[in-house]
Formats: sequence, structure tokens, C-alpha cells
Amino acid sequence: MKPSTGPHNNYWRSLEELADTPQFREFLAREFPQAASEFPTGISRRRWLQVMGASLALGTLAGCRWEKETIVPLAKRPANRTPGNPQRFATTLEVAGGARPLLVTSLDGRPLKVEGNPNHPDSRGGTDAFSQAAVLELYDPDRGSRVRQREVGTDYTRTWEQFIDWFAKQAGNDGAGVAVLATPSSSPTRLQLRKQFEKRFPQARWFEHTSLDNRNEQLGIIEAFGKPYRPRLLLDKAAVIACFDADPLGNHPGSVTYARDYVAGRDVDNGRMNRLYAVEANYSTTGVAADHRLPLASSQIDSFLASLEARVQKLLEETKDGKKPALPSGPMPEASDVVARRERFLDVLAADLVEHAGESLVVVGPQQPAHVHARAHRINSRLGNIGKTIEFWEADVDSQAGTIEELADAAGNGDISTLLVLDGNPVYDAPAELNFGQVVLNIKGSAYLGLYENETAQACQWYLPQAHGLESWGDALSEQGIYSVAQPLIDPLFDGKSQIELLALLIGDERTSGRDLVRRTWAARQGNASDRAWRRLVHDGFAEDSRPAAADVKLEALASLEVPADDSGAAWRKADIATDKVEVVFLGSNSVYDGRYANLSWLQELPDRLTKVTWGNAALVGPATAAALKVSQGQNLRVELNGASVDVPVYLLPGMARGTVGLVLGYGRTAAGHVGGSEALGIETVGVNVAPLRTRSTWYIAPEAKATAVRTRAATLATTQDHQAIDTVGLEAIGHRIGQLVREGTFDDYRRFLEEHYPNHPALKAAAAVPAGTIAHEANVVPVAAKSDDAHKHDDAHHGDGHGEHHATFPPQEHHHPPLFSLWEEVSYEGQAWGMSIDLNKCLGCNACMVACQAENNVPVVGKEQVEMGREMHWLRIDRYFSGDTEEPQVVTQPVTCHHCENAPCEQVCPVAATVHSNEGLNDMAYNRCIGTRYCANNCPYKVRRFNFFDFRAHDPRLQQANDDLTSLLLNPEVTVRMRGVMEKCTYCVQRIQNAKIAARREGRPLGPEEIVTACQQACATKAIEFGDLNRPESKVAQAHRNPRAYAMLEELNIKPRTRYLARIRNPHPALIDGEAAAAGSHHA
Amino acid sequence: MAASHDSSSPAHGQPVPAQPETDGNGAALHGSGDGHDGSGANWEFPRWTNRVVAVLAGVVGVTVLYGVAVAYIATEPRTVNVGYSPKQPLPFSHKTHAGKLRLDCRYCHNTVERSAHAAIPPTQTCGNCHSGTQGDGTVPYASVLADSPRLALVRESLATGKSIPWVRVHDLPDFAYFDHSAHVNRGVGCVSCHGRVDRMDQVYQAQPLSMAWCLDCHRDPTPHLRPLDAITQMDWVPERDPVEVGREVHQQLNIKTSTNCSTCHR
Repeated sequence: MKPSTGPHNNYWRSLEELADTPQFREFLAREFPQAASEFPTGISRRRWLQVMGASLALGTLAGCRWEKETIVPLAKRPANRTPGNPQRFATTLEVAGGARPLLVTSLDGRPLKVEGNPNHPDSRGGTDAFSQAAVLELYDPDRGSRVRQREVGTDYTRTWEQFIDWFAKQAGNDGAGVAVLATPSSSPTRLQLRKQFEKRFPQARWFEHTSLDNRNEQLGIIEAFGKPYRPRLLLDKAAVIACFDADPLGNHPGSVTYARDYVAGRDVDNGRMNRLYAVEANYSTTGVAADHRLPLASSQIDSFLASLEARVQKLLEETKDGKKPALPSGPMPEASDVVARRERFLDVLAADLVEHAGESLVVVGPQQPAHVHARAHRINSRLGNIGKTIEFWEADVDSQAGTIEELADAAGNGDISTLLVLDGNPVYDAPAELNFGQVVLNIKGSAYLGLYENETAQACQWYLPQAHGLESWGDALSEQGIYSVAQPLIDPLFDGKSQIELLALLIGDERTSGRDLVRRTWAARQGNASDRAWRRLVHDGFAEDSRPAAADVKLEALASLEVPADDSGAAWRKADIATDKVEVVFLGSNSVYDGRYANLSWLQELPDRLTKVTWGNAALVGPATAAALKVSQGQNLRVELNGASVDVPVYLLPGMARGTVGLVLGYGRTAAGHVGGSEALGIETVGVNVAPLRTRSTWYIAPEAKATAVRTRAATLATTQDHQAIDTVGLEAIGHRIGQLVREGTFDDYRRFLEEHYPNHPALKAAAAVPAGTIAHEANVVPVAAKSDDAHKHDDAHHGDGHGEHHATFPPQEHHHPPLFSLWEEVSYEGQAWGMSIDLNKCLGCNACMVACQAENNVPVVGKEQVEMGREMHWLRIDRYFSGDTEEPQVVTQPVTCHHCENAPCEQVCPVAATVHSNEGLNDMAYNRCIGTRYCANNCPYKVRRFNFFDFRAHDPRLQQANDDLTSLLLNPEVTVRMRGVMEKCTYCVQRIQNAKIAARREGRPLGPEEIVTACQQACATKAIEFGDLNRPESKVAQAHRNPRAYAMLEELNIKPRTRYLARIRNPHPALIDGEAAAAGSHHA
Repeated sequence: MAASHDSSSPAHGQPVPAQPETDGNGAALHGSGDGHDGSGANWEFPRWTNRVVAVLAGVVGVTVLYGVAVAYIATEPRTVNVGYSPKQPLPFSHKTHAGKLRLDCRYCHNTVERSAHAAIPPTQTCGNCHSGTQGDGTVPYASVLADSPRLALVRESLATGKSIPWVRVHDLPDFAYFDHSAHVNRGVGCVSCHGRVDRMDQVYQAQPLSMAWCLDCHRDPTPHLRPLDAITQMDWVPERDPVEVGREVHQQLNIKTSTNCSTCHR
């Protein structure tokens, strides 16, 4: 069975589906696949949160009351604290390599939830998945809790004073033999302290290392411009963006900013539309967003960019007098003619870049070598983009440091007698050829400051507990260079100290509290030491007007970077897949980053953005490559590189470059903790450690590796991709139907549609003034009016009628349904009617909303085995659909939550009325009433209901009770914690709705239209989700429901969901569309 | 005589043949009415036990129903909660403070108008009056009962910062969320739910606080509403008909009580 082709591509969710394997059919047929109802096996190896609670406490019947509760008020209550009312504090966290400006909600003195700082220009309120999991890291019972020294094989608990004394003795007067290995940080305070440290100990040496570094980017800038500037992409000013192995929207310290800016340039409702090209080996978030994506091996991108530069140069010459650049003629080459398609891509991309010179942008990712970056800067310079779509600022700090190779060298020579490691995990992720674990063991005195007693801590003599970012004062420079400050939200739980506090202690600085240190640095920077200004800074979380101005950069000569005149022998022209060697690319994980988050169960269970793999990593291989290697999904692939070999289970990812195998870093940790794996505790590791393959020369790209399929027992891959399959009318029609579930169209089709149905739409007014396929300039942009009566024929904001009349929506659907009528009495909703809209044009599938929902609503984690059975508990899931050719597919993502249908099928079948409809349109869930029939989940067409098969809050017997007390601090008290046997689902964050309503009533005022913000809405960096009152026409969600792109999923069932999706609009270049005559388009140039 | 039982019915008019009394072994073939048949085998229940069984079944049924009723009533919130009065770590008397001294509820429970919890006050609040002897031995004028052993916990808490572990009296299950500010600001008096606290030496729960009891008011709040200036007045009696007063407040404050599940069950 092949998915039938509909008018808008044929969709498929996985290669199994496409191949229609019997396993997949069975999966679809039963929502809970084979043996899901059987008792799980391997109970002893279950992860710590899924141990079934034994209701041991039969208790006595004395009193027949529940447990006695005590109320324990503070002896002295702080003036600004109201018990039970949350407070919000601005702070900054260095997460995943970048500084995230945050607003953390604190309840009764403990931080509970992380949001983006809405005032900070870098985030404007958005966050990413890693920041959302920060509270889990804070309350992790596996964190190191004491200063420990190992002597002759035995661990002794020490005090901080003892460590300071020891270090002073080791370092002596001048720090001879002292080396510090730190992670790179933008913190000006730490830099200041580093300088003081080097002054105090002149012989000491400072090194820096991190696993996912951007060294190449830095070197490229130095090569191109002579100085170590920092780049700042201005994606909202770009009309054409070309990314080469770059992922600014997904895996980048500035991804929150860039995602928001990119989406700002794609404001379809106002006629703005940029175009994104992605050329990459791995399928990244940027690739998902791209209008055109070309899979290309990383090692071929160098020559590809060179050919691009040649074409750009040529076209710039030809179009000097204002002519339009010439486009290739003829139809798009067939999918099988790979090289011709690449050439076509080059020609069109070059033409597009030149046509929008000054509004285009070429970005290269950190994996590419430095000279590729330099070439991209030269292209940008030739196109006049510098200063317009990309600018550079000078960091006023000199942060050059030694590399870990130099450290290993020095240690090998016996120069190092004391090693102080500040955070990171170099024993785990150092280049394999250094054998860094042994290096550390050979150093006589070593100390590690970190959150966990991890692999590095075990190799070091001393372990020092680090204070978490939420427990410490600190500062950082954001991606745009804004000075952002971090304040603690809770005193250190485990006697930890931050990096800056430790350095201050070691130097003998008279100020030892983090607060004083940061204040001193800031006073020196700003020149204003007043109390008032300091309080202002801490309140805001950042210093206004601290954004460094764009530097005036000059391009260097770059004589060594030649522009090829003839590229007939270029590397990118090779498309055959060798069977004896593959190219390996090392990728950061969307879940555990470089491995530092391996002990966070929320992130381990978070499905990878593209593969939807949880609790493990896989070797990502494209279908053609897999066929050449004769390996299939789930089988082990033995990758041999640099003298080491690992066996990794294979995941067939359509869209991986030919001949490339992607290996995900950060897994196979042996000392992460109860969640991530610990040899000491007997907890099996999660995933496979691929770090032994990674040497500095093959740090990101290894062009010559060997990969063979082996028959060893492969770890199973727990994926969520085929779960909750929305089973529409028969499997035959599924490909066609997915096109109705997730709708997309092209920008040109959309404008034609608007011309026909909504001639007064603002998008047309703006677009008419500017050539098609470009963004409208500021002057022409007209915001969508609150009342747009002439824009459509039928106001659908009130859901009182259900009789099938719908105004024209885009894309137009073939499947029309007869007028809908209902067996049930229709309810009309006066008052508030809660609804939600999700703009698929803005959603990048970054998963921030999933973790935010988990944090806000106490959603449990189930562990790998249960995920394999389809029992993951995420209230919000992100479906990912492929479409098109299996080698060059496109991807569209769709977040799905409970839609709170007005004619909810779940409510109709609950035998005990545990789920009922409120008079405001919410589908309420009364957990205490639920008896666990699961009929509601059966009836839900969107498959968004989750059942607690086990008591996930039960006490794990392997942990002490104290750990439970700690992790229970993490729970949001505003949301019920569910027990075994109870159904749960998205509630539209009803606790937030109720609290807002109560606050409004208390203050005697009406609710504001955007006052209630759900957790997922708040976390989204691109603001794809809108929530609010549909009965207020001025609210954003009501406007979204009236949008011509708005549609409801499965609306022909007449269940009247309250969530609507806005169709995704792509902006393909007419010369690159399959099956159409190139450049012959009559409606644009 | 070994006469076999002739199971065929006798013909009309013919005399009924005599039934044999014993079988071949001498054992009686019919019950004699007392269970014993002489031979010692085949115990049969005497006939009169049939009635006993019927009566017994009735008694067991009634007992079961009685038991169920007792269990039901015994575990009802009305039974279990009303009157619940746990012993507190120190003998704080509302009768003294709220009754005799006429302290307003909000003097101590000062977050009730802006928070879901009417918080138990911090020891600091007690210390406003009961600060005890100062370090140099003087007793401030406002320090009431500075030496009383009953207030030792208060003085200890003030000195060391240790909290006093009060026992919760009015406790709702964890899945039910109650917001004080939503009620106190909208015309529901303290006494409606907590009873005459100003007459309690040791606080007891006066109302069942069950869902049915809450719904009674949510379905028709009018008899229970009072003007906002009388919220904490325990002995307030309306001059007019309370329902009329309630209706006025209802209208004035535009009260729309909600009976949606999500109002209380989040």
C-alpha cells in the first residue's frame, strides 16, 4: 500500500509506514500495540520514576480521616512574601553554551518554573527546552552534595576551608604547575577573576574546553576580518537566507532570538515572506523550516560554497547595471539525477542571493572548517550584506585560552602538578587521542567543581559541589552582547559554590560572595555604583543600552581562498555512495546537548526533534546509504574510526546526506546518576557513547570512516513517532488524509487565493508594492485590523452554529463534507470561550513547549520500556510528517494537545462523568472521579489522552526518603498530582485560567485579552501558540481563528475543536519546484 | 417385603397402594420429623429449619444494610469532619483573642484577601504582643504574659527562628483547590464556613466542608452573602431578611458562582 497522492504531496510519518510493514499495520490497528496490556518485564532495571507504588499503608481505620497535615509558617515572614502567591525574578542562566535571559517563578521561596524574560531583547519571552529543564537539574538528588577528597582509594568528606588550604599549599606563591581547565563562558566577572587569578599565580595556566565548541566560527572570523569579532545575525532583515550546515534556528546559543527574528520575516498575514535555503548533512531544525533543503555531505559543502561564490561573482558582474540575474531554464531535474539537482540548486540560489543583495545572508555552521566561514563572510561582503543582515560586535574582553591538547601536552611533560577543572566533563568528552582520563589520573593533585560526581569527578582527587545557576549570582553576555545578570532564587541546596566564588576564595579576594563580585564587575563596566542602579539591574535582569554597537569590519585579502573558475571536478559533484567507507558527522543531541543533561529525565524522555527517539541515541543513516551498507532500521552498525569502534543502532532518517552517518553525542554516560546511567550504582547507561571515535582532527566531520552492519544485539530504539497514530478512514487514504491534518501551501498559491476570495486582505496590499517572494519593507506593512469585516464572508468566531458553512480557507480542500448537524443539543457560549490557535508557519518543532508543559503540570516520566509501548505521558506532542522523495523530503511539524472539543467524544463515553464540559468551553478533568475505564482515550480522535498505568509518584526503594522530599519541591502545587489509574490530558493550563479569573474578580476588573498565557504559549520562542477568549474579537486568538489559513483538524467529525491551526506557507523559488517550468512563471520575475 | 416403588400413578377409582414404611435394610424411607431415622445415616434438616433460614437471611440482609449504612454515615464528611478538633502544639485560644479581645480575623490571617490561603500568621505576629522578656531583663509594656510557660514555644520560635508546627483543622483533599480571596472579597463571611471561631478555645471544624456542602452554596449563594464590611464580623445578624440582603449583594457584586468541575478541581 502506498499512500495515495493527493493534491498536496503524499505524507508519511516513517519509513515503516511507507513500506507498510506488518508491524506498522498492527501498530495502527491497536492503539496499544502487542502485549501492551501485559505486565512489564525487567522490573529491576526500571528507571526510578516508574516503580509501581505498593499501597503498603493499609493503615488503621482510626478516625477514617486522611493523614494529619501540619501548617508550618515562617517564624519571620519577609515583607514581600504572601504564602501561596508566586513571585517572579529575572535571572540569566548559561545553558547549552549560551546565556538565556529568564524570568523564574518562585513559590514560597523555591523556584518552580522557568520562562523567558519578556523585556530582554534577546528572548522577548521565549525559551528553549534546556532552560525549561533547569529546575529539574536544580532539584536533582543525584547532585553532588559534599566536598570530597580521595586519599589512598578512600573518599573523605572535607570542608571548603580544607580545600582552600590544600590548594594554597599546592599552588605555592606563584602557581607553578597549576592549570585550570574551564568551560568557555561569556561572564565578565569570571574573566575579571581569571585575570586576578593569573596575577596572583603568574605561573598558572588557563585552558578552556567544551564538547560542542564554535572554534571554527571564531577562527573563520579572525581569518576574514582580522579580529575576534562576534557575529550577530539579523534574520528579520533578510529576504533570502542560505544556511550551510548551520542551524541558527535550532541548535545555537542564540536560537531563541534567531527563531523569533526568522519568523518575523515570515509574517504571511502582512505580506512579508522571506526564503530559507538549507544545505546540510543532518536534518536540523533549520532544515525543517527551510523552503528548499539540499542534503549534502559536510565535506562537500566546502566546494559547494566555492562554486556558489563563483556563480555569485559572475552574476554580480552581469547585473551591475540593474538587470535581473538570469535563472536556469527548463524543468527541474528528476529526483534520481542528484548532481543535476545540486547544480540547479546552486544556480537558483546564486540568482536569488544576487537579486536580493543587501537583503540576503549566507551562514555557515560550527562544524565546517574555518576557511569555509571565511568564504561565507567574503560572499556576504560582496553582496553587501555586512551591516545589513549580519553585523559584528567587538567583545571588549580578551578571552584567549589554551586548548585541552596543550594541557594534555604539558601534563605529559610533567609540568602540571595541580589541575582545577571548572565544570564541564572533559574526561567524558575530550578528544579521544588524548586519553584524558589517564592524563587526569596521572596528575598528582586534581580537583573538579561540578554539579554531579561524574566521570571527571571520579578521576579527580577532589570533588567540589557546584552551586546551580539558579542558586548563584553571576553575569553573562547574551548572544547579542547585552550584559545580563543572574541572581539566585534559592540558597545553595548542597553547600555548593559557583565558579566565581571559588576563584575568589582561591585568590584570597576580600569579597567572596557572588553578589559582591558581580556588583564590583558591573560597577567597573558601567561606572555607576549606586544602589538604585544596581537594584534596577537586578530587577530587570540586564543592563539596558548595553548592546554593543556594530563594528565597522574590513574584509581581509583572503588570497588563499580561491574562487574556482571551473567546477567540473568539484567534490560536490560526487553522488555515489561507497560501501566501504562513510562520512561520519558528530552531532549534538536535542535532548542532552553534549551529555551534561543526561540525568534529567524530562530531557531523556523528550523525543528528538526529527527522529522522535527517546532514551538513547542512534546512528542516523539515509535510506539510500542504508541500502548500500545493507543495514536496516534497528540493526547495529559498527562504526570504526580513528582506531576505535562502537556499535550503534541504526535509525533510517530520510533526508540524511548520501554516504553520511550521523552520530549523536552525549550518551553512554557511566556516571550520570540514577537516570542517565551509573556504573557505581548499577544503573544501565542510556544510549551509546560515541566519544571514543572522536579525535580533534575529526572533531565534527570524519570523511573516512568504516561502517558495517553487524548482528550484535542492538539496543532497542524507543521512538514516539508511530504512537498516537490518527487513524482516519482506512489505511488506504492515510497519505491523502494527512494532507488535511497538517496543511501547507506555497506563498504564491496563497496570494492567488487571497486575490480571489479576500481581495481586501492586508497581505495583498503590502505584497503588491514589492516583487513577489520578497519581504515588504517597513513602510508598506499594514497590521491586520481588529475588525476585518470585508475580509471574509462569514464570521466564525462564535461556535454556536455548526451547520457546515465555512468561509473559504487556504489551502482549499478537496474533501468537502455535507452540512454538519449534531445529535446533541448545541450550546451557545456567552461569556468566556477559551480557544487556542497554533500557527504551523511559525512552529519549528523545537520541543520547548513540551518541556514547559511537563514542568508546569507535573507530568510524569515513564522510562524507556513504557515509551516503547506507547505510554509516554506528554500532554503535548509534536507530530512530524515527511513528504516528498525519501532522499530529499520536506518535513512539517504539528503540536497536538487536547483540543477541548465542544462536542467532545471523550465526554460522551465516560461512565462516571469524570470528564465534563465547563460553561466556558473547557474539557474539565476531575481526576478523583476517574475509574480508569480508558474509553475516553479510545474515543478521542486526536489521541491526546494519557493514562497513568503506574503510580509514577511512588517512592523508589533505591532512594532514600530524603530524595523524595527534595524532588517533591519540584512539583507545581497548583496542579493535582495524579495517581495510578487516572486519565489526564492537557487542560489549557486551567490553573492559570482560574488564578487569572480570581485575580480579576478580586480586583474588580475585567480580564485583559492577552492576560492568560498557557505554559506552552509562554515557552514558544516564535509565539506560534495563541490562547485566549474567542468571544472577544480583539483577542489574538479570535483573530487567528478568522484567518483564511485557519482550519480545524478533523473538522468533518463535527466535534468542534477549540484549537485551530494556521496552515504552513512555504515560499519556494519557482525555478526549484518539481515539475514546473522554471522561470517561466508569469506572475513574478 | 421388597416392594419396589411403583412410580406410576394409581388408576382412577382404585385405592392408593400403601407406601412401604421401611426399605429392605430396615431403614426408614420417610423422615419422621426430627431428623433421626433410627439407622444413624443420612442427616436431614428438620422442616422447621426452613423458616429459620429465611429469617436468618432476612436478619443477615438487614445487618449488612445496617453495616453499610453505619459505614456510610461514619465516613461521611458530616460525621468525620464536623467536630474534629486536634490538639495544637500550644493552647492558642481564639475565644480569648478573637472573642474577648475582639481582634479582627485579618489581624493575623492577613493574606486572606489577596491569596488562596488564609495563612497561619508567622510567630512575628504573636510576638507583637507576646515578645517576652527582653535581653536585658526588662519586660516591654506590650509584652503580655511574658513568663507564661504556655507561651514558651512562641518565645523559642522568636528567638531561634524555628517554626511552630500547627495542626491543620480545615483540610480539603489535595485535588480540591479552594481560594479564600475569591470568597472573602465577594461577600462570604468567615463564620459561614468556619463557624463561631470566636467562641472556640480549641478550634474545631464546624462545617463538613464536603463537596455537596460547597455546592449547596454555589448553586444558590444568596442566603449566605453579606455586605463586604461585615465579612469578619462573627456575630453579624442582618436587620432585614438575610436572603434579601444576600440578593442585594449578589447583584451589587455581580456574583456568578461557578459549578464547573475545573473551578475547584484543577
